[in-house]
Amino acid sequence: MSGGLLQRWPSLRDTGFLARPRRYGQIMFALLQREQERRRASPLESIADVLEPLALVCVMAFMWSYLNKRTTSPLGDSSVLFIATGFYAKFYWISLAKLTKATIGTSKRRFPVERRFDYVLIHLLLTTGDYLVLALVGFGFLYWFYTPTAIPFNYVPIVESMLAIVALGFGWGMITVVMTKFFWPWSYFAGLFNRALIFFSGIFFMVEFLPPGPREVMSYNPMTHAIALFRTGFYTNYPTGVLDSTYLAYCAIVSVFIGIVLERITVRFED
Amino acid sequence: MITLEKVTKRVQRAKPILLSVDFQIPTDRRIAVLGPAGPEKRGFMNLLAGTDMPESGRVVRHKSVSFPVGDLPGFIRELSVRINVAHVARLYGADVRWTVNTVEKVTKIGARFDRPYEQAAASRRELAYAVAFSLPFDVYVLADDKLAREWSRQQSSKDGKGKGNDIVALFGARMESAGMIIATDDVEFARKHCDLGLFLHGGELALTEDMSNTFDGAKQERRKVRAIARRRARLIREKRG
Repeated sequence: MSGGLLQRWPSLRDTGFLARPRRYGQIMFALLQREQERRRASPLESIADVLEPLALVCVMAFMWSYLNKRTTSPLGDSSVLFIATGFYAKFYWISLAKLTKATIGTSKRRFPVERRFDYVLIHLLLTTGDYLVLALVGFGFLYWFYTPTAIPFNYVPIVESMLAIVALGFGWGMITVVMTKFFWPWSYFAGLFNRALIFFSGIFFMVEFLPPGPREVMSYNPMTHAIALFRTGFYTNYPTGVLDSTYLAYCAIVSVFIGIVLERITVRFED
Repeated sequence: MITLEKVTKRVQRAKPILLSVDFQIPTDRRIAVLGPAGPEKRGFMNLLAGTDMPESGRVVRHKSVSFPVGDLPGFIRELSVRINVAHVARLYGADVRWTVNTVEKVTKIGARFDRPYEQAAASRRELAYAVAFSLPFDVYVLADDKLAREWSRQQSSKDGKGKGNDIVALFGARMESAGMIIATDDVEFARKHCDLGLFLHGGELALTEDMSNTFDGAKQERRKVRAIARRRARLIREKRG
């Protein structure tokens, strides 16, 4: 090993044009590439998030087609498609909100150039990628074997609802991260709470067809609106009596705001 | 230059490391951070390297500063050493192939280089040194002085080469071409190889080129620590006896 070999090296400090964004791109690329390697090393763990909604939809489809043939879909010709659209949007949100696993305790296990927010962004990005693949496989399967309406006729509300879900997931995920720091069982309660919300988001039924009392309660849940918006991309005749896009947009903006503020406030006191 | 702007940091929110300190630390010199080893000094080194954030104020790094040398915080246990090293190189924008080859050559861990990092536990320390010094930082932050002292011993041995360890040679090459901030309580080493002394005490920082005072202070601190250690050992002996 000689000093001459080392001299060939330029400084790691980049001072050229657009140095900062280029440096940030390098860091994100490095993190993404390592995440890919990590998934290659343990493939089952990486698809566990996606398997949960898939398994639930399969079980319900099995139950409905063999045990109770009289059940009809609340809307459209396939009850499986109806709950699949609901579960897809709901579990997309649940997976996005699992920020504790991606961030808590990582401050002692990362290099100084990697920041907590980078891990959050990578988590959101990879989860979105996973769910896009799940959509292709899952809805493709439904299209071939169940119903031709499993292909959306309008992609605009679907993209809008998915953006809103990312915003809601990020905000709720950051709240979970901060609360878990003060009270460690919080993340378990949050997991239970997220799943309990499945019954209050209008996945198995139409919120429009409920009595006024429960309908009003459920319309406060932004995920009800996100799921309704998601479904308007699949069903041409989806009733939009409860759906309020403005409310959903406000919730999404407030959620992103809360998430960013919490991230900034607590970044100095990690671990 | 590393600039501290009104930086406050405490150990476990109680014992102060720095209290609203404004300070400039040069990055092209060999700086010995003196004083007894402990959570304060470790916290200060982490602050310089960027592993920890200050409670208030900010640390501005005008040059590329290494992570704390001797530690590999971001290595993932399940992934192979090769993938981890490539990740670090990519992260800091260095040449990936060159870095991986250098680390493989210098550490000589053979087949374990392609096995999970957790299986390379025995050579974790050498690996940490090799990774840090194969990346061309402007200044290296050494949280312990073991490697530096070994290098110093080899320098002062008769043939000037000693055992011929590649990692020590790599460190020597970096010592000539880059800045160093070394946490040490070895006064002799600091006097011989460092040209600035940084003293950390009671939430304040002092940087001096006239090192005799600082060294005396360090010596006194060291003496105190040793006395405490001796007393503790005696107490333990008495308890057992």
